[in-house]
Amino acid sequence: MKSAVVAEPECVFDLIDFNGAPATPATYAGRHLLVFFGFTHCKVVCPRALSRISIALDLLGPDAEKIQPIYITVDPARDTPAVMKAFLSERYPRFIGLTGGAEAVEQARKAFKVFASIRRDPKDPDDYDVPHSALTYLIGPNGAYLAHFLDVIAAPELAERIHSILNAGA
Amino acid sequence: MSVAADVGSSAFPNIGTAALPRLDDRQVGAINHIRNLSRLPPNDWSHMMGRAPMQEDYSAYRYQLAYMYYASALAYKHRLPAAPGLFKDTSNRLIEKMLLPEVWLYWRNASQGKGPFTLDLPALGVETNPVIRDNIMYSGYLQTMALMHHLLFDDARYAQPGSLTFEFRPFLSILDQSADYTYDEKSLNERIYWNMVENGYLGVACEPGCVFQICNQIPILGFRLHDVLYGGEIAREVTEGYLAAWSDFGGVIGPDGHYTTLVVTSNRTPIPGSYSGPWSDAWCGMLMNMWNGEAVKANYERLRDAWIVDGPSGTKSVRLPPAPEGAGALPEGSTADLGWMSAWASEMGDRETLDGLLAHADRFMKPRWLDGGYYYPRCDTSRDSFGNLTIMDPTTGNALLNYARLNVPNGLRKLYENPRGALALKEPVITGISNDAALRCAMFLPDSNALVFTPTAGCEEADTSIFRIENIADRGAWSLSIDGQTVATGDERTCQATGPVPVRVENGAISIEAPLSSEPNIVVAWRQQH
Repeated sequence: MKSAVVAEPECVFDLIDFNGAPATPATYAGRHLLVFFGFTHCKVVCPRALSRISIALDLLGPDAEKIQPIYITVDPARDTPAVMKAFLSERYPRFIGLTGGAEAVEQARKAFKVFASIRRDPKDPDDYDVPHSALTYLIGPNGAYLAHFLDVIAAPELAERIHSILNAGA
Repeated sequence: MSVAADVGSSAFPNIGTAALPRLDDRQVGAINHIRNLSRLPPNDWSHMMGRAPMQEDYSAYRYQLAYMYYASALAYKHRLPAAPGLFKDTSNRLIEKMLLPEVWLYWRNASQGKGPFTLDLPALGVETNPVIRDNIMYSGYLQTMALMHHLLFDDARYAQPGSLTFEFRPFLSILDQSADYTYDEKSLNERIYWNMVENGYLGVACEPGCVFQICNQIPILGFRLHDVLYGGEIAREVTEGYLAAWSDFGGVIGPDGHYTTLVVTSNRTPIPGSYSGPWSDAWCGMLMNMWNGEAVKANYERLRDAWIVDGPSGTKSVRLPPAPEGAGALPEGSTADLGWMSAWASEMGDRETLDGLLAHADRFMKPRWLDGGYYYPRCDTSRDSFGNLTIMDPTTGNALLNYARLNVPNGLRKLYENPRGALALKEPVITGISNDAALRCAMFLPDSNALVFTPTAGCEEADTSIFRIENIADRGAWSLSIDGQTVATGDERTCQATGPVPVRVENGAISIEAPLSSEPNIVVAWRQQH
């Protein structure tokens, strides 16, 4: 028997979006996904990343229409659909926010191989924060993982890399 | 008329070989011992069997094989860079041994967790695949060995799909299903990378729930090698993330002033290095020097002085930690402390400490010559009647002291920064050696446009050995001299021997049958480039 072992992240989630509607990869079939995990109370990493991704999408021009940016919470206890909607609509309107039960969020996190761990933080009003990975995942229209990008990549380079992947077969 | 007949030796540079660095007898013996062990048949672990069962302590075969591999790599890269033929077969044989089930099958037991630091956690399922999760204490070593082979020898064999396959074929039990777990250097690297990402760059666990700093230096080296081969900046990504992740635990150096040994991830508890012993600081420091050299250097002398003790006549030894818990009833000093300290001193270029530790080993630890190889046989007695440290584990005796003897200051760091071997440079090199002969010197001197080497007896008793020299194309006419006397001239197709030593050109390579006992200085010189 040969064992096929998958190392790459897998685009697997069964969550609800910030309007309360069910959301799985099939919901967005036919579009590329740009996925970032985080939480709305995040003070540094998420605002920086969501801004950078938003700028990159602006730079992409018409290519951006092929892409649905998605923000998946790693803090479902605080990030209700309403909280996520308020957070994203105001500052990062391109994004759809996804949340769900703790188990469903954990399943998505593991499938994408995202690190997140609750840590005590006396400075936080709720006494905790959630350090997490800062990778941005590009998923193909068929749900296949295509690439990931580090948070040190500036918006113009991110746009350039996404553009080259989107147009690789053109 | 051949080119060889057209050139006189005066057309070639006069190479002074007396000042070139040469290996001493014990350094030659160190290389020979590693070659000898690599040649043992599959599952013959003579001279390598440690005291603890189950491959759970630092005498485990994986550590011996890996550090013998690194010792060879350092010797090739820094001591004998024009002699890939002395090391390439050893490299392949050591990698083949790493794939033997005896080396990795401990994982079926260890993968279930519930070790000394994780007794409160539920047991995990049995996992046979040794690289699918955790177990960086094995997977990282295999990753680096395969990628290093590619770079050092310009040989892509471990890039081929399935070239790193773990075959699990139980014979007596029908409870287990046979399986092949197939990888190559790229897919293994990818597997480890995503394990690292999932853990927030703190590192990949060894046994479940236990992330050791030491063992996560190894995949960082692997990522660097992968970056050099295939492009990318994984090493930078991981090292930046690593420093950030460990800052949550007070940094790579803990509040006690020692390298934190590990973090128990379930309860985020760091285990301090002062609790562990010299092995923890030394092993971590010698490896971390690759990419975090200034920090390692800043703490080296203080930590060295915490563990080193002076002995008679300039010898040095180590202050031992308590006997390790678990892994059977192990005696004091079975954690290879003297070996790791020696390797660290060699990396830091601390000649006085290194010489003192090697002098202790040579005086009190009963070194032995065997088939041209030099090593320290296992000894389970901690101290002699005078209180001198005598215990010798196979990792120290076979690998670490030989590693320390062959390394150069910042040797591993230099390998990290520039891991390509001479074959990739297309310089003339020795690619074949018969009769298991050895070399005291082998280097190409670009300024002189000359290959210089000094053969000596190796693992077998032999009067002569044939040395094959490749990468001679498009270099024009050459002159070969032995101890200053020209014995042959030629080019890439022809050869005219003018002395008693057989020299030929075949298939674009020079072959010379050289005497061994006289250890001649052999120079193959091409016309100087202007």
